Amino acid sequence: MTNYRGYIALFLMPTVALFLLVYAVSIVILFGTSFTEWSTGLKPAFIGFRNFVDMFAKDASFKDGFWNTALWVLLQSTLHVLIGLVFAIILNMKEFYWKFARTVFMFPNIISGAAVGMLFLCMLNPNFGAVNSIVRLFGDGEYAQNWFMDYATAFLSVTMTWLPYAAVVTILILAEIAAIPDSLFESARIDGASELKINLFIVIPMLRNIIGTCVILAGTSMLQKMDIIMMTTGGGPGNTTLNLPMYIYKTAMMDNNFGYSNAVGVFLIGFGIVFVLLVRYLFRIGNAST
Amino acid sequence: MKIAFTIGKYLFVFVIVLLSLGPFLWMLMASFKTNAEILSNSLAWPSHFRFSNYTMAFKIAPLSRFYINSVIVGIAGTVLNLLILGMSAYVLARFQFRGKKLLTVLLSLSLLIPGAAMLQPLYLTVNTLGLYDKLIGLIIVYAGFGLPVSLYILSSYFLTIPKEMEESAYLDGAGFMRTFFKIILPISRPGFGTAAVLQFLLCWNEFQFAIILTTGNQSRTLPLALYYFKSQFASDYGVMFAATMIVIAPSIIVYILMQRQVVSGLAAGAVKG
Amino acid sequence: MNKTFFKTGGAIAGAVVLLASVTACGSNNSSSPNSGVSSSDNPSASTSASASASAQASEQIAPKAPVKIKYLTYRVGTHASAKLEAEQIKQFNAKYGNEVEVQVEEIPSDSAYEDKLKILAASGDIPDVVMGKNGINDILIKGNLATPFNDYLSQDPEWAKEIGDEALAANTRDGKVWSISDQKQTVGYFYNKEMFEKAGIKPAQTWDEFMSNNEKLKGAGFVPLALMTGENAWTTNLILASIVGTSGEAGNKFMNTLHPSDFNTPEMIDALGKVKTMLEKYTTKDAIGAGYANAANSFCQAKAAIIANGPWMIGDFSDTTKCAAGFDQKVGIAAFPGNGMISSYEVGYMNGGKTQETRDAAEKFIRFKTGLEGQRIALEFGNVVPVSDQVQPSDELKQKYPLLVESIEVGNQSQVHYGSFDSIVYPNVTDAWKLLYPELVFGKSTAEEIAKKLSEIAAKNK
Repeated sequence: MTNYRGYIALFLMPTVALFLLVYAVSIVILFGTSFTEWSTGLKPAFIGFRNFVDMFAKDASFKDGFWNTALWVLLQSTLHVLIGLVFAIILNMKEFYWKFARTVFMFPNIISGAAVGMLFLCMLNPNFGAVNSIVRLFGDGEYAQNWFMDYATAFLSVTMTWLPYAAVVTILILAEIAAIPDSLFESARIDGASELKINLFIVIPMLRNIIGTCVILAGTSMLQKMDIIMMTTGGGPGNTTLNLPMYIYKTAMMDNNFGYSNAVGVFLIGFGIVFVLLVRYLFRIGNAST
Repeated sequence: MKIAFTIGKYLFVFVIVLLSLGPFLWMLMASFKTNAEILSNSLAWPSHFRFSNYTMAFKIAPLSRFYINSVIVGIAGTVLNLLILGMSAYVLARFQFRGKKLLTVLLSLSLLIPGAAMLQPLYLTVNTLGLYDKLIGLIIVYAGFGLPVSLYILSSYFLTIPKEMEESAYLDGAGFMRTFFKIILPISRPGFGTAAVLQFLLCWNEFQFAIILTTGNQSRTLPLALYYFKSQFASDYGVMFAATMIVIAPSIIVYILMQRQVVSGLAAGAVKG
Repeated sequence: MNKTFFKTGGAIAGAVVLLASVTACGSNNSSSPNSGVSSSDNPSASTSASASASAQASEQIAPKAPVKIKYLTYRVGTHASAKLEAEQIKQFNAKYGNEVEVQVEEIPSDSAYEDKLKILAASGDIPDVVMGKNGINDILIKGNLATPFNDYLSQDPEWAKEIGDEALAANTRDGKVWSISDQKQTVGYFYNKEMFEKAGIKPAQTWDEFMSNNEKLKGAGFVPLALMTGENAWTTNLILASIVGTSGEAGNKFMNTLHPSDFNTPEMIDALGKVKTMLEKYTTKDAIGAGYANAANSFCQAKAAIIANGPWMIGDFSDTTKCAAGFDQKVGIAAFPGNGMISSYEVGYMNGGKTQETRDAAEKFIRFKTGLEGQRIALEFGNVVPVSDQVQPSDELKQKYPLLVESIEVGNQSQVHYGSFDSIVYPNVTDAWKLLYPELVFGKSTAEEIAKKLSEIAAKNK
């Protein structure tokens, strides 16, 4: 289709322009100053790779933050997507509750992250929170689990503020299922295949592209997640729920160390690129499904 | 076996609905309570349904002005984003050209840049372009923030459309533009619908950049209003949750309306066969 | 497809040029008035805080255009000082409105304010009047982004007297007065008189007595302390600061040092140990991780007997949406054991004006806010303790808040004075408490280890 070269360029141009407008300066400053010592209000001074050396050699918080981030990326790109996928397939059976369930599932995604954080902070309060109150109703009258601050439960509690809420995955997959020709289902049903089998062997393979896309979007969203952590645990107790976005924010805004913070940012981007390329390779994203 | 499967299915749906609806209903209830009631027994019914939190919310924060701004930013940011990315996603999904891989990776970068690292550079860019404290500045920035998600969603959707569709259009003598706008766009409604929902929510909920990139109430958006009720030494949760309800109500309506678009893929399926 | 390649390359090059011009512009402080242009064409921005709709229309045409200055404030919405801020601006406008036009930008939430100012400072774009709280003053001083007040003060000795030598000295570095304090923090603790009576105790004279009081309160069925370790661990740290500050000469000196770097001292370790006991045994179940609102509510709802906090809280005790009616009658105020009281001056306002004209106008605004008039407004509208002895509460205020009078008396009688942690440590240390207290209480780190960690965090500031 070489005769469309002009159109291709024309169609790409606005996106490239938007990308450069919003991201170019950030990328240049981010990469450029990651090799400098730069604190707020002062001029950056070139220090070579020292930020990166410090990061790996002696920064325990960075390591904690990295492992938490990696674990959350893993959970989000597997379990979270699985929940969304299963829910989409169930909804697609269009049983009596499906419209209601589909709408309700979206609610937590409609509320802004900061408000979700406040909401969970109140609901999981050890004293008056809804969760402990319910536990107390069913027996243990003294129950006072400190969900967000106890070492045993902090990571789990924070994870639960986003892991189950896979409505975005669900609607993406539902839209894709809707594009599968009905004739495919019908012929399978005529062949006597069960609903489960149709889904496992016909529907899911056809969703390869969109599932891969969901894995990328869900996984990388964990490279940006900060507002809920900030509102609930602040990364604590200790560094139990610290992730790299939070660490970058703190290094820049609390330690006033923009240079080091940007070095961590560069590392995070590198990690993200590896993740995205890996998923694209695994799911062969970009190849048409038919 | 079949019974176990059915029970498992309903249990799963029940848990998901409970986890989604529970916090929402709790917040709805809290929005009628006083601060003291929320902080004392969060499970109890409000002592009586007071709407004072809602009137307070309008009194303390400039909600109505912010509302108008948010509607403008939300709609314009979504339309701009979908228009621009619809075009490039189509090209990236359909055509092979040199530099495509590199461009894809480059655009994927936008998914990965930490927000904290963008605060100051974006302030500089927006200020230099004279867009500081202007709605149009927010619109462009948000259209940019939604770039990766819309790109992925739309190109993934375009990939499901059989190539034969365009080929037959070209055979009929339709040009590139005509094929895109008359054939491709209409059958991609579900993809666009989904991308629109997510893009709108992004514009509607974003806080951090809204506060950095604006100074006056004439260009500020709703999420800022929520923070009028939460400060270091005086947090009023009741009013804050009331304000949150006010903020999310339109999103829910928009979502319910868009939902029809999102799932009317039946039409698309019909064309496909 | 070479075309797209070229376009991409060209656009990146364009962005680099853009970046170069941007940084060039940002580095030159005197040539960045561009930021003011965008907001000045809309008069509603300037009057948003005074909030009267009629003001917007009437103020547009003046014979000689007033000097425009920019001012960011987080004292909006439900902030404890929102009322006094609005009143100060209103009265300033009434008095000097035709000379100076204050363009107020409202930043709801304290932390968003700090973030935005740091972004502005990094871009060399700071507003003309800056509240230097929580380390912002250090950034502005280091980056040479503010003008010291020395000249202004020597020209106007009257104003200098209204602020007082102590308050001026608190914000002087190397002989330069970088900011003008707008309030004094005198903090003891409030207690529930009913609960104290039932437990048969009086405010403690020593920390051992304080601890045995806690035990007695607990024995009487009450939760003794309203503590919280979330946010900046405010109510907990006031007690920690007091234990250190009243522990003798070394500890008191420590609590009066700006930016202490070594927390690994016997006083600090001992105090952390005591606070650990309080968090384990004598406070509410949600104290670990709780925010200020939780602690305040516990006290106001008579669920805890003691809360450490400043006099700005007094207004809450008679606010029936926060406390039960008549609760203000039950509250007493006391100095900490060892007759200690937190007594420090707020950082207050800095002058970030970039031209002589805006600097003068900013100075006028700051002088009004920190002079006798401003202090009086702050006292009447926000229960804020003035920096000057010349400002005394009005009879009306005394009648409305007898506890305020009592708090000033207790303050005058107290003998040992020291700063709060928030006022002496680096902001990243303030931010770390919420992570460290759980470590301490859940036994992951000893008091010694916490002290060492605090030193490490402080050392991150260069």
